[in-house]
Amino acid sequence: MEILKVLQKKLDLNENDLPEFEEVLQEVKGITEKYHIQFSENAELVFYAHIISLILRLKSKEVLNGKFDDCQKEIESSVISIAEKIVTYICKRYNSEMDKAEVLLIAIHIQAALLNRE
Amino acid sequence: MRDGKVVIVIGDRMGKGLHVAAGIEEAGGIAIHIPGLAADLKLGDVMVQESADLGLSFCGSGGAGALMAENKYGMKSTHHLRSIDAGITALKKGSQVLGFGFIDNKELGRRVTEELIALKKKEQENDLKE
Repeated sequence: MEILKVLQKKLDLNENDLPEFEEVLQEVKGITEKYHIQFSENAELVFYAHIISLILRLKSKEVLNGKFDDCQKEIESSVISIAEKIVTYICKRYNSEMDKAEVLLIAIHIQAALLNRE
Repeated sequence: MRDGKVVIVIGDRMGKGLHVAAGIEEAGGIAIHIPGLAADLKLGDVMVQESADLGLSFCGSGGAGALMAENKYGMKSTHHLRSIDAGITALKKGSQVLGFGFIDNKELGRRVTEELIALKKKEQENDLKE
């Protein structure tokens, strides 16, 4: 994936981790394409940067600060459902429990992409 | 700078950041808080509109808003910051956008503003010498 090469430089990613990241990003790309989510060039870059950061957080067992329950009502339920599919896949791969806050963060990227398309 | 004050824009993924804004104002800066979800993704746009001196982005990874501003406008950014001290170091190294994880407290706003004012003062002194 071309975008992974860009992210490698920007996020200073280890070369050895790239095949693993590529596999996850391809799977996530498949989910977004299935639901016709289209990101602008910049939005796509930050979305996949977020996915890689999520993987790194899961690997290092980092927990997000703050509670975001009040934000959920501002996001469409269909978008939450797509984000859940992405987070479920990633959490399963890294033997982690699904964190609702992580779902919301990904849902916001997707919602922003949908709003920008309208 | 506006009316002799530094202008700092805040974009938080969840629309938060009001405590940071309060810290900025307390330290003598002008805080521009972007409201609403995905505010971090608009950070670069608002910085340009407001001719801001600095942008603060907050999200889970601490990267999105800073990366977006860097990619779209070529702003020098540092992302994945996890502490105020790390932010201050990045500011001293010339970053225009600082990307943090979720931190919403006055201390961050205050310390970043104090440092930015000190840096601007130093810049002005150097300009006068030249």
